[in-house]
Amino acid sequence: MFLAPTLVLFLLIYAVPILTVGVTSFFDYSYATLTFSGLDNYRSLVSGTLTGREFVKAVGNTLIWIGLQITVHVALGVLVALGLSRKPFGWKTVRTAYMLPNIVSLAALGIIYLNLFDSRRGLVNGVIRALGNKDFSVNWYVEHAFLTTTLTWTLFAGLVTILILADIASIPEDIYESARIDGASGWKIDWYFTLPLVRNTIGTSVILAATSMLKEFELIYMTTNGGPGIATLNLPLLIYKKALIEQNYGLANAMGVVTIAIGVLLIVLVNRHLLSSRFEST
Amino acid sequence: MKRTLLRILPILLALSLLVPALSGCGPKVTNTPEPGKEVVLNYPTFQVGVNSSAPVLAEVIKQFNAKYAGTIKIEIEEIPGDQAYVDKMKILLSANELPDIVYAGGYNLLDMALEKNAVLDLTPYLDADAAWKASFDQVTLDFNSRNGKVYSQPDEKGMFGYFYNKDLFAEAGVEPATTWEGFVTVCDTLKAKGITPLSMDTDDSAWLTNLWLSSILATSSETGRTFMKERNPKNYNFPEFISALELIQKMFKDYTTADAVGGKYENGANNFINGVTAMIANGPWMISDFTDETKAPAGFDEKVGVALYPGSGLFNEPMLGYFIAAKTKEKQDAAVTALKFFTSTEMETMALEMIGRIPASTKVEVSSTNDKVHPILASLVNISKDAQYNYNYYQALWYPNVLDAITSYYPEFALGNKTPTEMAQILTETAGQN
Repeated sequence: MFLAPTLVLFLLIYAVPILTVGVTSFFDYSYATLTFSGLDNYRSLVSGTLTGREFVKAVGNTLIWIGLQITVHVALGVLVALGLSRKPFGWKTVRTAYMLPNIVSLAALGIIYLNLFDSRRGLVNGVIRALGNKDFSVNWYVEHAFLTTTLTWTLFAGLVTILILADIASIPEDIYESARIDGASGWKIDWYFTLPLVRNTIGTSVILAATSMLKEFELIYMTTNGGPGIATLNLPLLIYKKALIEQNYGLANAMGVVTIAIGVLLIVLVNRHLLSSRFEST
Repeated sequence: MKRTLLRILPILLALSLLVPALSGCGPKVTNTPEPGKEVVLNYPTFQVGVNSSAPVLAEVIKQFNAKYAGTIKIEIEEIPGDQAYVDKMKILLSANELPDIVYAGGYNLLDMALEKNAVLDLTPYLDADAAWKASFDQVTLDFNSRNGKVYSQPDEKGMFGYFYNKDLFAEAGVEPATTWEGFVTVCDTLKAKGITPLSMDTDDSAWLTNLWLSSILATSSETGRTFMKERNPKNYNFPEFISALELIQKMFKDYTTADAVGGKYENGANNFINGVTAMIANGPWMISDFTDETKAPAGFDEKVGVALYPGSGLFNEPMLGYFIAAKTKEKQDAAVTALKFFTSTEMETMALEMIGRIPASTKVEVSSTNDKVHPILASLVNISKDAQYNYNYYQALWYPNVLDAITSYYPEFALGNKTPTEMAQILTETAGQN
């Protein structure tokens, strides 16, 4: 009874569209046609055609970015949180500044990055030239597109830092006192006490980081549009291109089904390995 | 409760399966306005904000709503950005919910809407109004017709050559080239003088770059010209296209700025306006930028000349115009009234004077009005008489996914990581997905 309103809302807002996506992935579905086509859409995903190559690249890039996000991004967020939890001078300013990319519109952020990395007028090349390398000119989003695109989100782990900081603040002080009495200090306290105690929040951060990469769209669309070639193509951008540029909704929905499957698999894995202890202990 | 939910669940799931089937065959809207009530027309547009046509459209709508106050009202829905507009129209088309009036100029939305039977046939309206029909030449009517029926009407014509900086040309001692071999020599001479010859781009379907590509093709041979007339071509893998790409690759490598690769139209436009580059391929709407002191140095327009493309080529073809997707008779009639107003002599003259837009109407005398207002436009109209080859531009002809592939693959191609043959093959393969 208590769950009924939530369940009805879930069915109408999420389950129905997800089912629609699933069902239409078996159709030749465009703005003008809707014909059952069996597994054709799924076959073309693994074919040697341009669509197949694009799909394989998009899945590969998405998985690499998920991997980097759940390791480098989360680790960085945790490290910054551990550092800030000691409340060094100016820690509140650093916490706010680190959070800034998370509160700026992603479309605006895309334009900012595009200008920062611009080959002629960009700040990055400008600084390098000012440091003495006067002829330096790298077209970042073309010559090092994957790296540059990756940097636009991997280093900014403000959300992870805020979550971990909040969890660290809730750890009773007497635990740390006992640790110090037993002779632990510095990184040993972090390693043996703080990190195990914030494990569930790290798990939550991993889920957030992974799912953020499953729906990352704006920054790529605004900067490289998946190029050069298909170097920075990911699943959401490919789905957009198939649905809105080619109007091949059936194929786009087949890709959507794969994306949902990857998302569900990730959540199950993280639940099993990082979040299970809380449920076992309660 | 649990049992009730279990009963409801299969019904909801079954209904969800019907959603796609129902969405494709929804009933036509039948709501009819009450007699004597004001008919409200929905018109989404990207000609807002910083778009060069925004002031003209605002004035046209203002005058229309004033003239037809109490009977017809056009409500503008602002959609900044061409691509956002095209995307939205496609979504609305899929849902059978196109707005009452749709602007298809420059984007091939008409054929898609026709596939879904969502477009009003304007032929009876044109036949009933001889004066309106006479304001379009036969070429324009044919371009906006399918199977003998007229489906859209434009208020402008696409006519564009390329602009060059007369001071920079004089500094290098060159004149606009008449052949492509001569064009390469001009570029080499400019480069030798330390002047970057061309503004180019790769983003947003590489507008600046592909105007050159289209011109190379259309002036190359009969095959190239036939290709540049073809709607939604599927094969790009032929010798003329490949050799045109070879020259484009050379232009990227030797004659343009570093920010052209991966760069947007705005980079190229700024480079030309600020005297960084000597040539830019673009339409007459850019002329108003040359005189706008917030964008260009004072007096910059006096430095700008306009020329035919080497090989005596010019983009000079009719454009697709507005079509009507209104579903009730009252709205359809009101939308036709709006189209007649948009394409009237008064409104097209106003657009010509405000932003230098070339009118579609045969009733507007371009030369009599524009030489005082826009000398560069007057010059363009003058040289257009000498053009040996007139052709349409790629964006109105090629598949949207081919335009997107160009945006994605041009940077690699520009850097020499893809050969012209590989590029042509990719475009062919991409077009084949449609």
